[in-house]
Amino acid sequence: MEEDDFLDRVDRYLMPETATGTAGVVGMGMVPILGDTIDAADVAYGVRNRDPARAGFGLLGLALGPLGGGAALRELFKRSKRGRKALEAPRQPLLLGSGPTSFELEREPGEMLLGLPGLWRSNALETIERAPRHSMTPSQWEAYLKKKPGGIKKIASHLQRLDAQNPNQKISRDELLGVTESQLAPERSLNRQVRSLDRAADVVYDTDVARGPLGAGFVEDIVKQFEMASSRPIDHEARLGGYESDIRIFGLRREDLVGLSPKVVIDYISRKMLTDSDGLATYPERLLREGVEVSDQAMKEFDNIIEDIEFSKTTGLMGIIDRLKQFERGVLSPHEQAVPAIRTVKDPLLDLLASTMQEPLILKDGTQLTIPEIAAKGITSDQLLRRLSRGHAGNAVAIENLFESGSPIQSLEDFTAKVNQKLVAVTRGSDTESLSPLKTVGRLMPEYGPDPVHRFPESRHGSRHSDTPAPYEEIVYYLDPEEIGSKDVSGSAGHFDSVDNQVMHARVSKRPFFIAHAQEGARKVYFVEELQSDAHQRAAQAKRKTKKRFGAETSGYSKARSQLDDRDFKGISGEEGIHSKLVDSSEDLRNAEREFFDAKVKAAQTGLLRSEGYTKEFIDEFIKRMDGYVEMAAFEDFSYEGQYRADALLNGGVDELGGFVPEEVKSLFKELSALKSAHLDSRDDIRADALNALGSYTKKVKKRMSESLVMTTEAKQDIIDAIDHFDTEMLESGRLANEMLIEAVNPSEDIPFKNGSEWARFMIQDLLRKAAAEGAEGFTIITPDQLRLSMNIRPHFDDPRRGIHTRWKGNLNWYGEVLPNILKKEAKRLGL
Amino acid sequence: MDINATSEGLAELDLMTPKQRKLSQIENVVIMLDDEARKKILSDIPSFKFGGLVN
Repeated sequence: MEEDDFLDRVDRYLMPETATGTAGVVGMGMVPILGDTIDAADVAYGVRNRDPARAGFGLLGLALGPLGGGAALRELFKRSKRGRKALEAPRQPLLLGSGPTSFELEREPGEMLLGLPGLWRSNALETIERAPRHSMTPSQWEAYLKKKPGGIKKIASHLQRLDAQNPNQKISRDELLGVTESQLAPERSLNRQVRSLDRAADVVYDTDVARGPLGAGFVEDIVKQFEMASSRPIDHEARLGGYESDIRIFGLRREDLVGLSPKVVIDYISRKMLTDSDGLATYPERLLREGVEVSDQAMKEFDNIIEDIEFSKTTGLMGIIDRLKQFERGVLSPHEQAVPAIRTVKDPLLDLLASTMQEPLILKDGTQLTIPEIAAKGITSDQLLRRLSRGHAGNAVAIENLFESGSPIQSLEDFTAKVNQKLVAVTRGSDTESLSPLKTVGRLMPEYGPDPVHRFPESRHGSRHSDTPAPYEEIVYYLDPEEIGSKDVSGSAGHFDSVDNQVMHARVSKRPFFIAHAQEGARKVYFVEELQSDAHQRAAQAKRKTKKRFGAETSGYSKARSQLDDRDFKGISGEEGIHSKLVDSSEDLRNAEREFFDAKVKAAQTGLLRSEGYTKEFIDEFIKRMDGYVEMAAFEDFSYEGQYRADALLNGGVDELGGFVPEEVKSLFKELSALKSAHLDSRDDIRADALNALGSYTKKVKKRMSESLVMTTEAKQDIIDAIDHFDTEMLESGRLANEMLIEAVNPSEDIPFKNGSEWARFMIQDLLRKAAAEGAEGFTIITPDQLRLSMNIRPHFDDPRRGIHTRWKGNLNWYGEVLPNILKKEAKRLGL
Repeated sequence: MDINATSEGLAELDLMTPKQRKLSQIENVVIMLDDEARKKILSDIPSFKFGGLVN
């Protein structure tokens, strides 16, 4: 309740009712960071309050970055008649599509933003849902959809039929979605969802699904699948003894599933399939009874799989597996690694486990087995893992089949083949190879305490920060304050609070390290666990941002710099200075707006009464201008200038022009705007859509203007002047905000090592020297996989469609390629 | 059998590009240091004093 109250209060600030409040929000929207925060809040509130327009403006604002505060656009929009009408309209629930494959959004905003409901949906549906809110003829729709990835065959044929009926008929996006749903027969939807389900089952088995793609809606989806599968005629009825549906056999009811977590649901289903008296184990018998041939080979394999599925549910097994994995990846402590028996036993991993892990396995029949007992039975760690993998594969295939065809098993041969196929995919086909102990235990991981003590070899005062021994050592490289004074080199604080002017840092440890196949045992190796520069990272980021805004990296930056030099900007420093400058610029903006609107009123009063007609020059001028804006927005890689100018005119200017701009033109602009916000993720789309819209808009403007509108030369000049002025001021304030952002994010130019990864080479050299001075027997740098484990990141991202984890992705290249190459080069240079 | 490839491996296989997979699997590059190598390093790489970096 308190939270609601707070949110509502924030909401009132963001959606002011008074003019002053509006001006405040517009002004704030111009402030970098703050503006984005407001935009983000708008998105969240828009979703929370079921207010698509608001969420849309927020998104638009975020896309526009610091310049185009979504709040500013929203407020301008709100002030227009049309805007008021739109915003005051009853708020519809946000629907993500319609029909059985989607459902009303009942989730947290964050979940929606991650696009989670997509788990069950086809590409084609998604493509249409992401299309502009645009009415198009069948052939236009077809052309549009053809450009997108994903199968549209069925929809295409339907569109062609519609085209044959009436080629001029306009179909809206929502209408097409309805059509599409009806076009896709239930079994078809079911089939296309199986792939997702397959993955879902795998994910559920292998990971913690508290977060990730299988959110709250997952169970809901499963329930839907059940209902669809139950109502579907079973085509293998004869073979399976006349059961109506195997789902019914397992006694699964909707009520059983509601409210459970995805993991529990999947687990529940698979346990049902295992333990039910009509469960998986009875299938061979049932198939035989129905006269289906079952080969001995398939029967044997099937028995093994069932056994493994049961085995995979053994209590305590996951603990062992986790432990084995840690060992395999070298996460166990050096002490554990160095157990002498390691080179002598048949299965060193299991043997080692026996000395470090006491928990027994509890088998299905209640038998308890300790690890030494398991080892005594001759079971090796890879056998354990193989059985577990096969159990999981069997489980996943059974569930997949259950949804796909209403029965987990229709033929033993198919089932075993599918399980083996999955198993091979999972184990990369190497399941017959045994582990090579020395090769794998050679990879060590640093040890991290829960609350590590940072130990600096020397501080700038020449004393140690702490004398407490730590398992690792942090080394910070900083610029000497005595020489250059104390300043924030990296733009904001780095990793270490206690060090001024910090530029880069490393974390190292000395540890025993087994070299593959080395007989002499562990070496004392200098192990670089982390090598990083906050300052250089920020510089690189600022460069990227600059590039995005100004095109070419260097010229863009120097352009911005030279503009800065023309301004009294040097004196500005700190947040306060930037803020006051921004207040000035938003004041300019408001003045420009006012003048613009005044001119518009004047033009309307004096101009529209005279029947002089538009001159060719005026029309050309107007069109050229809008062309320029749209093109800038579409072509210049989201040029902030272009987009801002176009949007300012679309959402503020054009709408406020009232009688001056024909209705058609206004609505076209609105559509163009919607097109852009609908396609912010794809520049090609925007380009194509913007061009299309531009083409039809130009025609209409020309036609309409030459047909009916009249205005005096004087009034026209007023408008041109006003647009010019508005333009200039908008641009100026926009540019200023832009530059200030660059200044704010760009670290001081005094960072040492400006070229590429030169700083890293310097650090590696220095650390090599340190290693040599301390008598290390080897030198190495952490690998991406070791780093990933230390960061406790799984290799896949929470949402599978987003690929691997972003935090890791950046490090892959750094620790997998850049640093090893520098190290190799250095070694070569030194003749090592 | 490769332990990496049980559970995590599945998603890994699905989602990584070949390049990413290769990078994720690389082994440590280890520079072995004996007396001679240590001497060489100490003589070739100048000692670095904290503070006052000049580019």
